[in-house]
Amino acid sequence: MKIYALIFLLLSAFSQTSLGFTRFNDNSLNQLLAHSAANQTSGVIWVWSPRMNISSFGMTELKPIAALLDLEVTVLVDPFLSEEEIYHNRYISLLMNSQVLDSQELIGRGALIHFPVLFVYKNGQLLTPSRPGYDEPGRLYEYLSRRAR
Amino acid sequence: MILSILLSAMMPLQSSAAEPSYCSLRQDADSVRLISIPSKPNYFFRSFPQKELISYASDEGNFILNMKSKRQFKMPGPFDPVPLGEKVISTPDSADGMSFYSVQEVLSGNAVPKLLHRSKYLKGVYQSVGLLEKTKTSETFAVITAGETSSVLLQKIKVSQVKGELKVEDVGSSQAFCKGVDLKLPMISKNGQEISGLDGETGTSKIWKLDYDSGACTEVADIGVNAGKADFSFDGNLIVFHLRGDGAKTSEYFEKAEAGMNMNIYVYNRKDKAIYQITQGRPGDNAYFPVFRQDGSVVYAVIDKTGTPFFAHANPNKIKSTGVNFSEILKNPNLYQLMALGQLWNIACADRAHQFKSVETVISVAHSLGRLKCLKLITDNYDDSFAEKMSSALLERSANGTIVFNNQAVSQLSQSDLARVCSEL
Repeated sequence: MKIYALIFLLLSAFSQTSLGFTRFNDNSLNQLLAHSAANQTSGVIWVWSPRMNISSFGMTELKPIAALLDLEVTVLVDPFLSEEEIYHNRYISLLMNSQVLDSQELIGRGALIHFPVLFVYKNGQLLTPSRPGYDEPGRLYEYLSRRAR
Repeated sequence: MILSILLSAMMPLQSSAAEPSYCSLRQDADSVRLISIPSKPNYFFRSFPQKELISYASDEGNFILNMKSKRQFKMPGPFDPVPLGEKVISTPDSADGMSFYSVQEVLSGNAVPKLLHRSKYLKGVYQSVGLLEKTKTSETFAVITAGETSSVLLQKIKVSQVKGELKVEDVGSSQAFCKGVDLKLPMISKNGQEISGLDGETGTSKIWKLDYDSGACTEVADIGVNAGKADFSFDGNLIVFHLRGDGAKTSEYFEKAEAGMNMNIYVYNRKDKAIYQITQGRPGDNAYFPVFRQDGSVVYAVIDKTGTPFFAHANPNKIKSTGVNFSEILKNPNLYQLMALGQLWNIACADRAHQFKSVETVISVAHSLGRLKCLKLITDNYDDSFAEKMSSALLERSANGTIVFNNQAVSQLSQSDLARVCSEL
């Protein structure tokens, strides 16, 4: 039993940052997509940064739209923040509900090109291309209705 | 074609004395001026066309920074301050419309200057500005935002000096542009006649021409890469943007800013339809969000390995590299040779953890070598293990998925296959 606990602790340590944020890596992405395939669900992955203010209020607009369209939401944050930025950030509550972007697959697909970046997946498939930049709510609703449903 | 445009590369820590000459990608760091910033900026900023001023957003609000004196001046708004010419500065508001303030008043130390005008129909964010008309007493600008119902909302704004008083007003009503085009991150050209942006359907950056009568946008160029915001030069011939150069060393996330990430600045030349790499930072060095000034220089943000942000101002000058036409890269008969040269550079010049992973970047690196460095790189590093080196490369496909590193095809290239390409660099 002890050995399992030790393995769990070790795995936890690898999947978390030094400040306790959960990393969202390629394994996390694969798990998310596998869940989507198994349950035939759709969802969005929203990558934001406190250094890009507009991306933070875009998040508050995304959630009700996603709920309306029955989409799962995964929130990831810019990995390049200093501890000082985190502790003094005005978006701390949003930050605490975010996982840290750590997926090379998403980075390779443009996750860092301009916050926010939106990814859509459907029935286990990550759709292309990624969608950088803020969308007004009406446009976001139209886009997600067309792409994700 | 060898283009002598702009700048040079930047970034410290690029080469050590022990490295062979071909490992140095830095072109001319002396022509880059790093500007320290008193507060911590966010990712958004704009350079004024002529004055040595930069407007930027930070957690403490908006500021204008004097590049020479390093003095900064607080101004209204929580985000995205953008100058209209030299006298007026704007801040967006999705609910109430765009606000305009006097630059002079902000620079006098008044953090709450008089609101000169609110363009209540110009809602949305990501504003950018082109100059449509200039007279002795006035300037008429085209200001665009990312609109709600269309891709772009445009409002003509007139700035005039009447009896010494600055006046800002709408000209006509706002106009929707580019309906039917899923245009992201739009930026208007400096003459207000074209727009750059990312096509949401294809994932590539493009240029569209505006039709002021119909509001239609006609695609005139596909740059072929997945870039950030792309800013036009004042003559309209060049487009500058950042591209991801590499992934991050993930174990350092949230412990050391910008640990292994690499963004670089690139210029697209509309005459030869090729992309020229301007900065040559390696993983850990980052250059973002470049904007043109009227003299042809570029200002961009730099965040180095320690996480310290700077603005960089690069003087117009000489970077001598050959360009890459990414929109037609798949037709390039030397594509695999270029990939192999870039990967050979990776192996010869960078430790495994800090090699470039992006296939676009290794192609750009190959183009940055020049003929002599290219030949020397091959002479020193092409050996019996070449095929093994290539087959074990871990390069990722391009962001829009089209450019793929074919390990098997690249592994079969001979030394002379590679050397032949050097003469074209």
